[in-house]
Amino acid sequence: MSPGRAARRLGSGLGAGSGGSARVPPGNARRRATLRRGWGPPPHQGQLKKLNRGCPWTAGRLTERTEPHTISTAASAELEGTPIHVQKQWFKETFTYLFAISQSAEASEAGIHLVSGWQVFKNTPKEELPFWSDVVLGFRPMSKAELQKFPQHQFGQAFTTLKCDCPPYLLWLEKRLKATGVQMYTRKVADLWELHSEYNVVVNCAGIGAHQLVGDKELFPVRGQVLKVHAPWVKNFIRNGDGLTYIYPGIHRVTLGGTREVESWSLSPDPGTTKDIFDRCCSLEPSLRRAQDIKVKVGLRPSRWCVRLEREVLSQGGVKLPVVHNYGHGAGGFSVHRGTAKEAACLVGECIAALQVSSSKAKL
Amino acid sequence: MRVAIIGAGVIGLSTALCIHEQYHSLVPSLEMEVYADRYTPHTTSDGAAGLWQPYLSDHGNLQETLWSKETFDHLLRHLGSPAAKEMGLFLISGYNLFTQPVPDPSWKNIVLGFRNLTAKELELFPGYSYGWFNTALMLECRSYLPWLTNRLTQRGVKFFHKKVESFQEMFAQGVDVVINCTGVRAGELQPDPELQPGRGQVIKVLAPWVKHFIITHDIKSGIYNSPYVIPGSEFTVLGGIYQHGNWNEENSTQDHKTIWENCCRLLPTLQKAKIVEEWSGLRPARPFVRLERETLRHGHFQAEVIHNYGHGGFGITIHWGCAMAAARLFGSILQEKKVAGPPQPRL
Repeated sequence: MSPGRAARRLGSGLGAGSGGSARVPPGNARRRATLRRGWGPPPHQGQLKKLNRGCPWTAGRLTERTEPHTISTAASAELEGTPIHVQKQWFKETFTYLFAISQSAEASEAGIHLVSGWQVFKNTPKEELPFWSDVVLGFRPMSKAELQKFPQHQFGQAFTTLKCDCPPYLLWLEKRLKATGVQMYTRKVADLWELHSEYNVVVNCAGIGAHQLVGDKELFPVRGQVLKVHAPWVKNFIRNGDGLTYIYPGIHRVTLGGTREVESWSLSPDPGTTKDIFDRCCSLEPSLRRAQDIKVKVGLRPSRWCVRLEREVLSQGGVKLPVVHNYGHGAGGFSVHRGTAKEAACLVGECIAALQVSSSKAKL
Repeated sequence: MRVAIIGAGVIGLSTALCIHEQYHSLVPSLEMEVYADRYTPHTTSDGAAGLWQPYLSDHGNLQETLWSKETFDHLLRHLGSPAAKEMGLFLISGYNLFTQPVPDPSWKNIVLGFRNLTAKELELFPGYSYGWFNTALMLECRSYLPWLTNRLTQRGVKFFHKKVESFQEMFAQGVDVVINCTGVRAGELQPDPELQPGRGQVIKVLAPWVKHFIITHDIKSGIYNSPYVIPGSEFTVLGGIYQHGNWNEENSTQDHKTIWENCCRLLPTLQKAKIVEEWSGLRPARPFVRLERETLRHGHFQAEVIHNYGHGGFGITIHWGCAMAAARLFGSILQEKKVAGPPQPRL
């Protein structure tokens, strides 16, 4: 039985008439909560609306902090425990999705734009062709003339990819969610079980917060400090192959990075690190010495041996609460978010189907 | 030895600097003056976006390609220097788009990373079936001209805000060599039927999310008559107008409409861009650059003119190579006058 038909049956079973447009009293409405800390996969809620047209939805989103304080750093996926073919699938889906936005009139509002540049290596890497080389545009090795700009580096790759300015992107996503009737709540959830009386399904995108929220000891922070500077003449990205030094031009500011400090929970900017990042970036792009208005930001990459993307059913005293976990993307969140969101949406669909089966069983 | 440069656009100021750098120590009596009725930000150079890119074909004019190469290499060397930002100099990547396959340009090995576009990249630009990607340089004259002016001022070069009516005017006040960098109005000093205005109009917008230049080409309508988008350090320049023989420096509403509609069709994200300024200018178009000496005789004395004008829509692209060539011509004048020894080799 399809979820849609089950929903209609439920709707009519409650006496409000048949058909998908039946009004269901609020107490019995399907409710899903998505817990977000950073910028998990809000898009999938839109997808769920498409999957289950028959169901009247109220979906809530609970966030502890408001968006402008949340950091996402663009980086290639580093999700070692997830099979490469899965990472590639997620990466491709995300790239295709964002690419379409970047070419539309919404691009500037969504903060998505194309950017070209170089990834340079001091020594030629073992793997010259990364798995994403045929997803980005125009991927090829750098020419000798291009490498002359980087005298300390022997090898490089040139390509065109997408850059996301996350504060506008999150706001754009929120706007789209609100337009579909999704409710936003700023609220700290201490325990998922708190939500069992208000919601039928919980989607947990708490990022690094899952460490405390669900006690996931496999989740650990990888601290990243970045500088956001005013240097509007920088039009290309430059990244060191070791992933530690990078220059990413955003819409208004250029992000200079960075650090990868495993197990560091500190959110305070470190001045010594600031100078170190600045010096490393200036050695790749000397004109950055003239950059102005340097702002420092810190974030904790929610790292895990693999992304936790799975269903779980919490139960207490005969009451069940289905949960879909979608966290632990480490440094690869932006690069794969749409792909993991789609998968999470499927899992939510499964939860709903299971709920409908069990509630129709209950009626029998 | 009094040298007067007429014209304070990119050609005039760079030629002045090039000559002064090479000869001031060899010619202790060297006095240099710049005369112009328009200074930055009111010169033709100021209106240009500043992208280094020659025309698609040099029409067998290899000399011009070599001067453009010299300019690119010179600027590339300055990229890592502390002066780069002040000069308005930076790298930029982007696209050249065509509706049919075309031969590679003469400058393909001068720019960085030149390659054809992939099929996936062409999907970005519906209506175009062929194209190039490369990394080139931007040199924004609203920064570069003040930078050149500062270097010249530091060297003691004097500036005069004055319209020169004739070469004779200069020689009558004791100038020994005139460098004629008068651009599109060179015909007012000496008739030149080959020099014509190539009128252009641009719209300057705020679109900081655009990081690539996009130049489209329509082989039938000719160079710069097809939309282009060039992001600068502050504004993005939208253009695509080239009207041969049109002297009108007023903005045209029809041209505005053409530029805006064509560029928004090319890049839909531009619809959200805020228009900041509109500007028209006259490219000093000529079948080839006039870069040569001329000896003018007036009664008993003879005076030297070095012509350096007619750089069309590629003045910024070619300026330094031309400045060096003009400096070599200056050196030959000095030798004839036995004022100095042979010029030092360029380091």
